[in-house]
Amino acid sequence: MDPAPPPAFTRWSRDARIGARTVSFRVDGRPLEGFEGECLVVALGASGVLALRCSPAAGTPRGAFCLMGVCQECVVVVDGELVPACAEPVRAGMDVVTDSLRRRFAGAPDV
Amino acid sequence: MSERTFDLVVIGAGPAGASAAVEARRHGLSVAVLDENRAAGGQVHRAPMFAAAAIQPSSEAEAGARLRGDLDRSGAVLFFGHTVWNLAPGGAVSAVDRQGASEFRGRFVLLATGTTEKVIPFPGLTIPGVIGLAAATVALKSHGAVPPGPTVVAGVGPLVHAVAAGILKAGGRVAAALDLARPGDWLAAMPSLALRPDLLRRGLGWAMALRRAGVPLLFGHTVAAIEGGDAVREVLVRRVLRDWSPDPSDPGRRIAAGGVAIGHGLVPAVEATRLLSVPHDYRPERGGWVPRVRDDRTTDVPSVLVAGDCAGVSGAAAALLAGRMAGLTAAREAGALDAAAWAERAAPVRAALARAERFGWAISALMRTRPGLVGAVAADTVVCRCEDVTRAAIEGALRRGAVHVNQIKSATRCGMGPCQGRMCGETAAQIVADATNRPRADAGHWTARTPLRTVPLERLLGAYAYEDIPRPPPQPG
Repeated sequence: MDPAPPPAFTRWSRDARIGARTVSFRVDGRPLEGFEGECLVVALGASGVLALRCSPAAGTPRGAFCLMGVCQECVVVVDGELVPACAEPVRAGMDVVTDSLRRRFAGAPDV
Repeated sequence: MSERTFDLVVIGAGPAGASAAVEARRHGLSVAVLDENRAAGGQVHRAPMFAAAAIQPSSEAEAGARLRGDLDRSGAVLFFGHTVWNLAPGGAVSAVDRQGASEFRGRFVLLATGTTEKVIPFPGLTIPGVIGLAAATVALKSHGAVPPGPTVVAGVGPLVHAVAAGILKAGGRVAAALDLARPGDWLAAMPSLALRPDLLRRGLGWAMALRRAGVPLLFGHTVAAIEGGDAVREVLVRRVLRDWSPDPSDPGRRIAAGGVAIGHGLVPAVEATRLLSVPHDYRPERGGWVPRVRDDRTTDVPSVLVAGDCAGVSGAAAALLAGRMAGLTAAREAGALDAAAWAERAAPVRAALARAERFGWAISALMRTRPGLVGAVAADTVVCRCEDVTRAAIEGALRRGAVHVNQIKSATRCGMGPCQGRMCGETAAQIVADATNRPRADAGHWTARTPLRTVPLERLLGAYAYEDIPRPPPQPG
C-alpha cells in the first residue's frame, strides 16, 4: 500500500521572525490577525482565506494569482474602496469585504 | 491640476528604469521615476518588506539593494505607489496614487514596464491556491512567504527551479517540480549560459537542493489538470512530446498537493508602447510582441525611449545595461552630452549589453511556448479568467468568421475584463492563429486603451464641484 499522502496545508505561511507588530483587522466581519505592513493576500492566506471572490459569469471561486496587480483576481473592498489585495498593506482595524461585486449585484437582473 | 515637468520621466523602477534614472541624473537631467510598487527593483529585485525576508541574502537581493541605494542617492524624484493610466504624445503622463490624480510632463519619456507572466490554461487553473510562478517569487522575495503546500511548482525554465528551491529554503514543502524543457533543451542553451558561470552555479545549487530534499524534478512534464473543486487537492501530471502536447503513451500520474505555482514564460508588457503608437513586431523568441527599439533605445516616436524586458525578454542584467544606455541617450538628446561624449560612454555599455543579451536570449528561447501547449487546451477550459470565456466560445466566434483577436473580444468578451486581456491574450491569439491557419502575427493583438490599468474613478476625479468643470464658450452656430 502506498504511504498516506502528506497533509495539504492549504494556507500561506511566513517566518515568525518577521519582526513586525501583530495587528487585528476584520474580514467579512470576522476578526483576523496579521503583521502590520504585510501584503493582505499573505495575511489572509495565512489564516486560510484563499477564495477572495467569485467569477462574474460562472460563479467559480477565485483567489490571488499574479501578486503584482495585473490579474485583478484578488480584488476586495477595503474600508469601502475596491482594491487588489496584493497591493494592500495590512493595517490595524482595516475592514475587508470579500466577494464584494457579487454581494453588490446579488439579485440584480442578468444583462 | 498642476503638472510637474522633468527632462526625463521614467515609467517603471525595475533594473532598466532605475539605472536609466541614475545615469541621466549623472549628466544633470531632472528625472522623475514612477512605479506602482512601494519600492524600486521591479520583480527581479523585489524589495524585502521585512528583515525576515532578507535573512538569507542572495546575489539578486544584494543587487537590488545596491540599485535602490543608487537610485535613492541619485537625486531623481521618486513617485512610488503611482499607477500610470494614460500617456499622450508630447510627453504627458497621467498617474494616480492614494492621494489622487497627478500629471507629469517629460521632454523625454522612458518606458521600462517589464513583463507579465503567461500561463496557458488547463482545468483547475482558476482554483484558489493556484498562483503564478512570478507570484511565488514576489511572495518569497518580499515576505519570505510560502504559498499553500505541499506545492507543485511547474512551468518552463529557470524560474521553476528557483521557486521550488526558494520554497524549500523558506521552510515550505514542494510536492514536485515540473519543467517543460528537457535536459536536451538546457544542453543546447549551454554555450550561451556558460557566459554567466555565476548564474549556472546558482542553477546547479537549486537542483541540488531539490535532490537533497527528495523532491521529484521532472523534465518534459506539465500540469494537465488540478483537481479538488474549491481547493487544490491533487495535480494530474503528464509527460509532453517535443511540441509540448501531452504524450499519448503516458497515462499521467496524480500528485497530492495543497497548492500550485505555475508559469509558462514572460510576455513583454507593451500596452504603453502600443498606446504611444511605437511600431511592434511579433518575435516569439523574445516573448511575443515587442516594440521596435534602436540600439540607443530610441524609437520611431520622437522623445519616447524603451528599455528592459518590455522591449523583448532579455533578463535583469541586460535590462540594467539597456537602462544605462537609455539614460545616456536621454542626456544626449537633452543636450547634456555631445555626440562624441555619448559614443565614448555608450561603447562599453553596448559591448556588455550584447554579452548579457546572449545569455538572456538563450533563456528566452528555451522558454518559447511550443504549439502543443495551447493545442491541448480543452473546449470547456476557461481561457479568459475575468469573463469565464472558454475555448469553445472562442471557436464559436471563429466559426462565425472572426480572424483577429479584437473580433474575438467583441464576440465573446474574451479579454474585456478587469485584467484587460493580460492573462488570456497569448492563449487567445494562438487559438485564433491555429484555427485560421495563419501566422500568429496575423491574429493581431488587443488594441491598447486607456486607462492602462484599472483605477478607481473616484481617485481620478477627486473632490470637485460642478462649477469647477471647465466649459468651452458657446460656439457660433
